[in-house]
Parts: sequence; structure tokens; C-alpha cells
Amino acid sequence: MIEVTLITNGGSGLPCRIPVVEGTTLEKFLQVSFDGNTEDFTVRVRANGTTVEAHRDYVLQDGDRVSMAPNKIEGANIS
Amino acid sequence: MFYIFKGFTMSEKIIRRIACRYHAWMMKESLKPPNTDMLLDRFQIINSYSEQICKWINKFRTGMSPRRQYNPHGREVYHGIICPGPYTDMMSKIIPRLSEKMSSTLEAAIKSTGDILDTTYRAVVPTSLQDTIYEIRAIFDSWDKVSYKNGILSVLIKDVVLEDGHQEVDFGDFNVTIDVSNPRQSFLILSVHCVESAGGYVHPHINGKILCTGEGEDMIQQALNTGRLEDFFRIVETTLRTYNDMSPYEELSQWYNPSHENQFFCEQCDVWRDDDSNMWCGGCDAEYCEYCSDNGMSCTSCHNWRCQSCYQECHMCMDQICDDCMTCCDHCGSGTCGGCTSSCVECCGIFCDDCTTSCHSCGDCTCESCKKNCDSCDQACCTECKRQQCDECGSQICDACSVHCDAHDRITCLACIDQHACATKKTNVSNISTDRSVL
Repeated sequence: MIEVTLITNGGSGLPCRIPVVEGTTLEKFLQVSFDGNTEDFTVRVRANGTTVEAHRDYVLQDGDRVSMAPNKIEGANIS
Repeated sequence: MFYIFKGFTMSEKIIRRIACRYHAWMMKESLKPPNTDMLLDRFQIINSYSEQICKWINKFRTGMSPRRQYNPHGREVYHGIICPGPYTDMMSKIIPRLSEKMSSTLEAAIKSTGDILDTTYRAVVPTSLQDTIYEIRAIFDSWDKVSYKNGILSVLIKDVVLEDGHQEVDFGDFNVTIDVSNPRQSFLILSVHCVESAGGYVHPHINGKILCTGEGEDMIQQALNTGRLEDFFRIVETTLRTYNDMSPYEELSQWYNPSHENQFFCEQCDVWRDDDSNMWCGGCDAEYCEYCSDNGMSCTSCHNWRCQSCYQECHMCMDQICDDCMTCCDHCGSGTCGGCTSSCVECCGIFCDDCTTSCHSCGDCTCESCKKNCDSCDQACCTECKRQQCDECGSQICDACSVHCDAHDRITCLACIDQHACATKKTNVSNISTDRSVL
């Protein structure tokens, strides 16, 4: 088993360390760990301190960090 | 705390310098005590939960074991919520489950409080210096123009374009700047190309140099609190690239069509729309779009379109009438259309049909005040038709009820006609003259 960190930019905002089976792809990981439509988010993976290309078939490594940010964030006026 | 960067390239030195400063801030902030006021609130809530649970558990236990006592009349009574007997077995099964349920509720409340303590009440959850360096390096990798001077980290967001379904507006580039020694202070957004609206705004959600983050506020705070500076810039960039047409400082149309040529402002939905879809209300001069004009109606009388505020229902026939065509009854004040309004022949006032009476002789309308009833037949008649006076009894009678004796030139009512002893008159009864010219 390996540990992957997931940051969803929602809820408490704290990173969640999730144990996953070795060889788990990014797509499979998000299906299991993320409750929402991934199409509405930009997914970035950081491995060994560098950002890697986050394609669906990317095989997660121990210590990888998966960060998800919404594609649309609505600003407002203060009133 | 000193960091030595021998052996690194200039950019790597800058990255490490930024990371060290930001990391130092996180470490300092993480040592600050949490906000005690809010902590007290949470503990009070948990305390009240606990008290309620204990109270209910005690009540049930008391019910399970009733105390037997005797009242002043010597009768045996039980104290306790639950009477013994058939309920005992049921309660012995329910109480453990209730206790478990209430305990789990309390546990969840405590856990959620703990989560809140970790994120909101604690100043910062610091990351390691190495992770912070990775974070800063990721910023330099993700954006082309990143600069650092005097403790201010600045990232250039290029080509911000917004659209509202009608047109696109290219706002150009924006510099997002943050003080890494104190990121909690408001970060600033500086417009490079200063594409201003009619009201002087450089972006629909920026007032001066402050971005109103809206949905992104919590995400930004979480990112700064947990050392995710790259996420912070990502969130700000996404907010700049998203147009919220429900709540901007200035609508997007103020950039591409500030004079709103060939457009009108719909009073209902508060949106500027194209000219070819408007309905104009002649009553209040307001314009409505095709989607909002359903509430309006055409006046039954003049056929002009009026909005919901400018038409009323006729009190008599319920037709939709505009304010211009509506008449107010001088007697009862109700609004009526022209078809349900009459003018009094006496006073020339305007009255609804309910407040006028037709003369039974000539059909002219009189109001309640001007109405005269014939003293003989008691039917309404106008003054013109009720101008005969009986020479016998003096009553005011209408032409239909008057009898004229040609021989004696006397007018009598039908009731008095037999009192006249004049045989001639009696003879002349059959020759009733109603020639008004006699008078």
C-alpha cells in the first residue's frame, strides 16, 4: 500500500492522506476518493516536488499529492 | 533563522528566499493561540448536548424503576415517567439503543468541533520547509512572469477575458501581489492594461485593487493557512476568469456598450436587452423585455399595453383598464371603465352604474343625490320629468302620474283625481293631456 495526499480545496482544506493500492491510476483514485464531477475541476499532481502531467492513466506513486481546484469560482461585490 | 544558499542558481536562491520567509511566517502563526471566544461557544454547545443526553437517560432510568408512594388519601401511586408492567421489557431494549445513538451524536459534535479547531481556530497548519520550497518552485514553473521584490511576490495573470452571453471583453493582464511575510493581509490585484468601464472599474469583481473573492474566500484562506501558495494563485486566477453576472461591481455591458445604444433596460429583470424585444408601458414609461411582459396587458378601452402596475380591473365589468381610461365614481370612489360610467343629468358628475338611476320616463341618469322619486308611483325620475305638482295635494309627480284638466287647467295626481268634484274634469279624465307646453 502507498499513501497519496488529496487536496480538494473544499471542506476543511486540510490535505487528506489516503492509502491506495500500488498501481492505482489517477482516474481510479478519483473515482473512489472524490465525491463530485471531476470535469468541473482542474487536477494537478505533484510528484517528488515537481508538477507532473495529470492524465487519467497516470499511475500514482507513494507520496504523490493530488490537488483539485474548481474551474469556475464566482467573485462578487461586497454588498 | 538564517539560510545559506551556496551552490544554487539565482532563481533557485530567490525561490528559497521566498520559501524561507513564508515558512517563517507559518511557523510564527502556528504558535498563536486560537480564538478563545469561538472556542467557548463550541464548548458550550457540546456541554448542552451532554446535559440533554444525561437528562434523558436519567428520565428513562427513573421510569424504569418507579418509586411507590402513598398519597394523603392512602392510595398507592407511582412516581416516574414510565409505569411498570408491560413497558418494562420494551424500555430495557430501547434505552441502550438510545444511549448509543445519543453518544454517537455527541461524538460527532465533538469531532466536528475538532476539525473546526484545526482549520479555523488555529492560525496556520505549517508545512515543512522542503514542501514550501516545492510550492514556490511550482509557482515559478506554472506562470511565465513571477517576480519577487521587497518581500512582495507578484504573479502575472495574462489575457483575462470575460463574456456574458452577448460579447467578450478582454481585460488584459493582471498582477496578483502578496506579501509573503504576512499573506493574511489583503492581496492586491493591479491591472496592467487598465481596461476601465464607464464607472472606472478595471474588472467586474475588483474595486480599486481589492478582489471580492466571493465563493473563493474560504478556499483562499485555507490555501494560505496550509502553505499552498500555488493553489492560492490558482484560485485567484480562476476567480478573475469567472464572471458572476448576479453580483458584479459593474456589469460587463458597461465595458462594451456603456451608452447602451440600441438597448433598453428591463425594469423587471434589471438587465440591458436589445431594442427589438421591448414592451413599453405608456403609464410609467418603463420598458419590459419579452420574457417579463407576460405580466402586462392591453387596455380593453384604448388597447395600449400597460405593465402590471398601471392597469386595474373595472369595478363593474372586471375588464382590464389602464389608468388613463379608468374613471373614478364621484360617489363611491370605485374605478370603472367608460362603458360602466354614466353622467348625472342634474349635477353632471361621473358615477358608476351602481350609483346612478335611470329616469323611468326619459331614461336619463341621475345620481343618488339628484334622484327624485315621483310621489305617486315612487319611481325615479329626473327633475325635468318630475315637474308637475298636484293642485289638490301638492305632491310632486311625474308626467306619467299627472292628469290635466283642460277645462279648468288644473293638474292632479292619479290619487286626487276623484276628489275633484268637477264633472267636466272627470269627463276629461279619459282625455288626459300631458302637454307640457300648457305649463
